[in-house]
Amino acid sequence: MATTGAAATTEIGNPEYKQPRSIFDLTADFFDSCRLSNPSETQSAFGPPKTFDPEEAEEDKSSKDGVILDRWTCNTCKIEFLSLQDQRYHFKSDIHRLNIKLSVAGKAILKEEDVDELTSESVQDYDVSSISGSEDEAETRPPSFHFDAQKGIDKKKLFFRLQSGDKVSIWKCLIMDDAESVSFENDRGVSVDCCGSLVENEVTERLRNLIRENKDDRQMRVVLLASGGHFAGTVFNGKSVVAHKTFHRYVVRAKAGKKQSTKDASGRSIHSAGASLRRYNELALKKDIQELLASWKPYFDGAACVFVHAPSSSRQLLFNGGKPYFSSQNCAVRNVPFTIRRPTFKESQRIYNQLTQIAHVTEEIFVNRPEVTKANTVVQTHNEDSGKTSRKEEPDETSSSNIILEEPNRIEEDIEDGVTGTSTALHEAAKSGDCERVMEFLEEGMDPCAKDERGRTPYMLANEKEVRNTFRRFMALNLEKWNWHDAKVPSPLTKEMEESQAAKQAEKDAKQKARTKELKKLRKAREKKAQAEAAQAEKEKPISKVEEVRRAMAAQREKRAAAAERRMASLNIQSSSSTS
Amino acid sequence: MATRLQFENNCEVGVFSKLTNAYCLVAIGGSENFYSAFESELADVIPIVKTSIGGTRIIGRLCAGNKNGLLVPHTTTDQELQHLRNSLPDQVVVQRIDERLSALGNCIACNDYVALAHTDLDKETEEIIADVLGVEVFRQTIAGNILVGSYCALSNKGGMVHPHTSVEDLEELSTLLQVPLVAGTVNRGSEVIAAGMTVNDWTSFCGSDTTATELSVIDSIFKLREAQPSSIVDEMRKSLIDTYV
Repeated sequence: MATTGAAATTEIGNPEYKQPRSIFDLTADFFDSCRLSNPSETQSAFGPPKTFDPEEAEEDKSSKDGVILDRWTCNTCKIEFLSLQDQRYHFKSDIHRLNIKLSVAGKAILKEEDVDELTSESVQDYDVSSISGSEDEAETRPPSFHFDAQKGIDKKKLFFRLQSGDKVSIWKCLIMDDAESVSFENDRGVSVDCCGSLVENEVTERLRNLIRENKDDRQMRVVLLASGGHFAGTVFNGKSVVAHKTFHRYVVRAKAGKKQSTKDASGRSIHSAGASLRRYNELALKKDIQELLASWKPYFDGAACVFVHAPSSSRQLLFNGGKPYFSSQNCAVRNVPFTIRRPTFKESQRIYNQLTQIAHVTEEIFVNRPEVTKANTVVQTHNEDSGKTSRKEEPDETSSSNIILEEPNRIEEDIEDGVTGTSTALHEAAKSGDCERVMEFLEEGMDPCAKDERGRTPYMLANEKEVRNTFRRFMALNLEKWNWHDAKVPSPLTKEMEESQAAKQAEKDAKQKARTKELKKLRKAREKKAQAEAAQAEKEKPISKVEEVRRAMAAQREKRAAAAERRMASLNIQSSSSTS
Repeated sequence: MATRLQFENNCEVGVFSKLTNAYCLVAIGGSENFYSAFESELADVIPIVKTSIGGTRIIGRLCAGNKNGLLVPHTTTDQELQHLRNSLPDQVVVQRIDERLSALGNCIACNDYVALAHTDLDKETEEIIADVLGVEVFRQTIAGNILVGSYCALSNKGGMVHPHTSVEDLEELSTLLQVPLVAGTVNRGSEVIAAGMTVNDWTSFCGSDTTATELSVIDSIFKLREAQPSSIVDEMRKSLIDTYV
């Protein structure tokens, strides 16, 4: 379907003139001769707005007087109130608390303050009630998300134009199933093939039947909410509550989030006391809910539809069971089309009131200016690109003109050889290190000033010294032929320079030889000294041996002397005894 | 008439005492001077209880109360709770609160009819405050500070808030609380109002550093001069009878 022009509708409920009303408060002829409008069509507004009743005008005056006399305001949320009770009620509400946290958080959130204003206005119309339990984190709502949410809401709503010219919207799920869709006049050719689509007249007829319920027998509607271990079920008959029940069990993992069954499904099984508690609580909660649904079977049999909000794993609580509670053909199961808070009895009441509400719509049409702006930006970019291109061309022209001016006699050869930005045979010869080819190309007249794709001259590509010397020798022989500075050849190389270099090299070699000889002499001298020392060491050895022998003989001599002394002593004793 | 005193060379008298229209709590201290100052002003009309909370002496910052009740944090021991219940009048309900923000005196500012609360207090705690103290609870900040109990002092006659509070916020809070408010300081320029002073409907106690100019603002906004004779006869009849019986 091709959509020409986007028409976005914003729900701004004027609390005094066009307050949203419940569908059960309408008169029987409210939707007579109304037309279902296609949201993709762009339509201009019908006639001027109506003149309001004098009673409403008086109310307006009285409210203005109240505001002038005494101001009841909230500076954080930038809202004014009509009475002290309203102000106090606001200061106790969740919106005020959220806005305080946002303002305390800093200036970065000030932009979202506008979104909060819109949100607070729209939500205030729907009568926000404080929920039980704690809100640990303040939710931040980015503007783009808000815009997308609006688009999503437009898809889930039906818009009607009344005979009075007003435009109203109701939620699609109030009168249609999830699988059904509306086929408009533009799509009639296509709708012949579709099965689940309804025609405009059928939708309008359903709406009239719904309003007719006010007088005849009313059908009941059930709201079931299940999320995060909380459950809330309520049975409504018109605007009154027939039965309601709530459950709450410790199921979500503390500080870690998510249910225990979700954690178990991810692989490892945990055996802590808390995990066991949560598993038991999940089973008990499921049992409680199924018992409740079984006891509410009479309500389901007499209900027109069931509004269900059960995200992800919470859906098993309602639909996974042996007994099918929603098998009745009269009872249609429909999803709640917007996000909800924690499931409580108050929350279910709020959701039901919001679903059965008729909101007046103010139409706003956006012009296609962003596209024009983008086109201008594209044009500017193109201009900039062309400017850059023209700048790049200028320096090349300058350099080429310089070459031509400096070498007027070699114009023909320049045209043949000097292609700027192209690699030449001379480049390749220099790169490959072939001295003979380089000399041949230079003698043939190739331009050493030519530059390759990367702006390099042949001399710059020469890796070997001999190739570079070839360039320098040719430069010495032909100094006036080329602009050698542009060719990046540093200096010419003549025979005299080569001879002097050779002489220097010879001197260096001679010095090295002399140094080597001296080193050799030193080595020999060291060797001789070493040998002499070794010889001296060898001579000392016999001396020490001689000394050792002498010492041994001395010792023996002393022993013999001692022995002799003993023999002489014994002889003396014998002689003395013989004398006596 | 406001009185200047100090607790062991510390001028933050609101940290070590809690004064309401029905009772007064004083920290247990080594010196009798602090206690005697309260005795000389209040002994005729309301009971003065020496107590600790959770083993600490900073009782003014840990508990919140008015003539209807007293809220103490979860750190309070059973002996302290029993001592408080034995000492306070019968109509004063003493309730222990399981709240992670345990410095209740810093999180709650209240008189006998309204209370300002920290934005991060639990809903359960808010309901307990409303039930025990018999007040309406509003979430609000004062000059951008979320510790409302520290930066303002309230009585049934008037209130004083952080000196950087804007005129619009002052008027709004005054309308909400239905008492006149003024921006002021205590203890020679300290903006932590509740730490430097404690007040009820007919008397006030400030730190000894409070200047005469600050005292005059306190006398004026809390109507301490005019209120003294009539409040004893009219509003404190129950306490008088209860004390003497």
